[in-house]
Amino acid sequence: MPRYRVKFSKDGPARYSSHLDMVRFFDRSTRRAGIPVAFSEGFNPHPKFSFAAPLPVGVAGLEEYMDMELKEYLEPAEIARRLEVNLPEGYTILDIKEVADHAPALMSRVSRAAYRATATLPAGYSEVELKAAIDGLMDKQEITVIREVKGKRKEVDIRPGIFRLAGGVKGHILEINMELLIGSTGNVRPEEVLLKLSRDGGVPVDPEDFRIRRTALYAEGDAGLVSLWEV
Amino acid sequence: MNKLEKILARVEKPGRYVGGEWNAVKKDWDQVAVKMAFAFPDVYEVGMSHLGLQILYHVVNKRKDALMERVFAPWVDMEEQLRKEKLLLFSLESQRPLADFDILGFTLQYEMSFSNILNMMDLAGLPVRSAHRDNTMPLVIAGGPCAFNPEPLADFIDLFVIGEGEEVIHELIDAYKEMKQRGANRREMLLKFAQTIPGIYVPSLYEVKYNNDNTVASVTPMKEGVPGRIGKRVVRDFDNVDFPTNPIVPSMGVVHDRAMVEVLRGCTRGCRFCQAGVLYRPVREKKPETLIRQVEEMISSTGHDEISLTSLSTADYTGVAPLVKNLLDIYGERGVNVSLPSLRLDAFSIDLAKEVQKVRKSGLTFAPEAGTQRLRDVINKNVTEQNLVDAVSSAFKNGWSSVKLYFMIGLPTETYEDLDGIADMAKKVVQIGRECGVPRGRLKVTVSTSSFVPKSHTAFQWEPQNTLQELRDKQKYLKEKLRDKSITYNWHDPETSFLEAVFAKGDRRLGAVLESAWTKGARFDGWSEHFDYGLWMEAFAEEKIDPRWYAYRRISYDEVLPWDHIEAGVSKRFLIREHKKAMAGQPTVDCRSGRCPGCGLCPTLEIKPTILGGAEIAPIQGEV
Repeated sequence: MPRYRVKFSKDGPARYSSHLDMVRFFDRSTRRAGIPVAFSEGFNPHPKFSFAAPLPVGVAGLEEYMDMELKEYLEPAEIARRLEVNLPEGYTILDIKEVADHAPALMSRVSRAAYRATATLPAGYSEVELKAAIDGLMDKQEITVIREVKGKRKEVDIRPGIFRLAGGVKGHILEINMELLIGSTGNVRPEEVLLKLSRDGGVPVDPEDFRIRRTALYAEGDAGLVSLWEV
Repeated sequence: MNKLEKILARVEKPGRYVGGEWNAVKKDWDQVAVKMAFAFPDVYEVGMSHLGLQILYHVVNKRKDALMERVFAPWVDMEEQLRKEKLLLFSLESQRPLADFDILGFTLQYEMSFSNILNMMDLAGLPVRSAHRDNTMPLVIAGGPCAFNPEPLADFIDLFVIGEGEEVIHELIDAYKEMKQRGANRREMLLKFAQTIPGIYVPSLYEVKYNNDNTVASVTPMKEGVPGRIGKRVVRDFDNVDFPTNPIVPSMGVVHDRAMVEVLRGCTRGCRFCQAGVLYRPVREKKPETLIRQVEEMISSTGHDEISLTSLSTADYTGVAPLVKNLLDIYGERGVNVSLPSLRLDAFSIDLAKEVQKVRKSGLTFAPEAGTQRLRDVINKNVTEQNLVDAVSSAFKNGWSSVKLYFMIGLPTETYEDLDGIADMAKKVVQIGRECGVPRGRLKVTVSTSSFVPKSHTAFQWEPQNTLQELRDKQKYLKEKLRDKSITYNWHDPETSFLEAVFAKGDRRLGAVLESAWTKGARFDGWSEHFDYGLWMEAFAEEKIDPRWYAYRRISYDEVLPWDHIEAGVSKRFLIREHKKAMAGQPTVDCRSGRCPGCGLCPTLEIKPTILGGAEIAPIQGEV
């Protein structure tokens, strides 16, 4: 069955819906659009969609990916044309292409995510202080966070999963850019890094007060990182 | 980042407050003359499952000169954030404060949502009492089933709409628009609406007098031209009435997440405890071709994967079997399921269920309501034990292994023998299951009991409710009796049912109690995790009102009831006769049979039931 890769963005009110809600959106949008999505067999058939990595509720995604299988072939441009007019507010289709039937699942290839977090610059806080806080965090050998897994509290070291952390001030906006581990080998959530910067690094902004966007998703290629679009 | 974004990052399920759903309507605010907000006094997931919201939203937004936006009760975490950040409660579509609207309309589905109504007004920055609101503020109106006894809310709501809303709302908007252009103030408007629009009740225009024994002496209009009795509105041409085939598709999982098509309105069965059965009379069926067209429009406009054929009793629809078959033929291929919300207790219903649940047998629910034939005759639930035996045998033989049975406890005249009947029925179902070869491990019978709440406009409106202790004893008794590996027993919190009865049969004096309980923190009383019975009892004590007087008193037929001036079309004389027949254990005919039980509704409202291909019913005229 023909398989397609869809690059899309999710922002505005849509960023407040959960991953599960988004799967339901796509199911309904494709049905409205008359796109013949393939369904799994069994008692509880579900549409053959596969996503790269769930977006946390509240985080916008500027370049997100999903693969979908159809029952019959349609030109990618035709899928895009039908889908665009049937998506709720906040979703945009950026690109669609056909991929090989046996291409590896997005979920198994995604390994790194880039995030940009912005907040209003607190009065009296400077870029120098922000950079010091970031350096202080990155200099650590180990950064432990507490996660709740199945009701149990567990300590996790997120330092190996922080590949890049940088920050700066643009006018009245404080901006932090991160590249973090994502996928089958583990996850670092952007809020975890922001919480460390605020609690341990003295950045005077609550993690909730940052507006977070996921700007890119990557996989390991033969010659370094590649965009998931290229996988 | 604005204040709203800040607080959305701090609440669970922020999707409840942002709108932007498919088919939501966002209009140019300045181009519209009349702005309405539809307020649902419960969370998004509950409100978005409500067909009435979708109907009114569609009907109003179809007009060029009006708009309707939505607002739901913010969950407790959101309320905390709104109050902390001093943000006013806003609508989903334009995110405007509710005070900017012309009309704020609450739907009254359930007595236990009343505290949320006060809370939402307060969060909107509006005084909760009608008398304290001024001309700069929206008119606060309300409708829905609980508007048939509006008295406990009389101090807070400016105007009630009695009966079905989809036609009267146009008359209200037209009149509002005209009066607004003339610069009329709210007093003038309310008086004019009460005088000229049928089905409108403005409580501030009526004086209530009480007798020494606390009963109501009279409810009389204080101005000329204001009707002494307010009759309900009812849609005459139900087949052609505007129906939302482009409903809003919720952006998050909601309670009923499917396309809802209203197959018929009303129910002919005449169960004596049932308020909806009276309020939505007469029964009106849509034509099958209308339904097929509406379903098609709805599926293509929403993308839903399930069609629910909704009504009070869908299996009673004249052409239900061909309709279901037809829909399955059309949509089965397209991966769209058909569902029936309720089943009758008969083999016919099992055949229907068999059609719609071909693959996944998810479980069947039946409502015998009472455990013995004697008590079923009292409540006029015309099913027999044989019906149950046939239905469950057929279900088990056709592959179902789990069955749910719904009963009510505390019904008038109930004895422990009737409770034994519930246990016997449940055990009998288990036994039938075993005989039909359902494996022991898979066989599951769930018994749920709710507690009888006497409601206004029913034959049981004069009946007392069981006391808390009586209900607890009965639940305990059943718990013992239903001890069986294959049986699960669920029951309702009796305190909630008690408060529901108090407000269902309450009068204006309860307004003070409601306000006091809300001030003390009552919210989401229908949610057991938030319901605080002690707080309500404090409020009653402070206002020196005994709630037991409302729920536990046997009322005499000649007493003036607080809701007597609100008419559902069924005559009080008929209800008295029904009550007497109940006490004598006599059933009453179903008007679908072609024989008229003489409820008085058709001659009063000058309407007839619409039953497709059914016998013409000649309503009994005059006295019965």
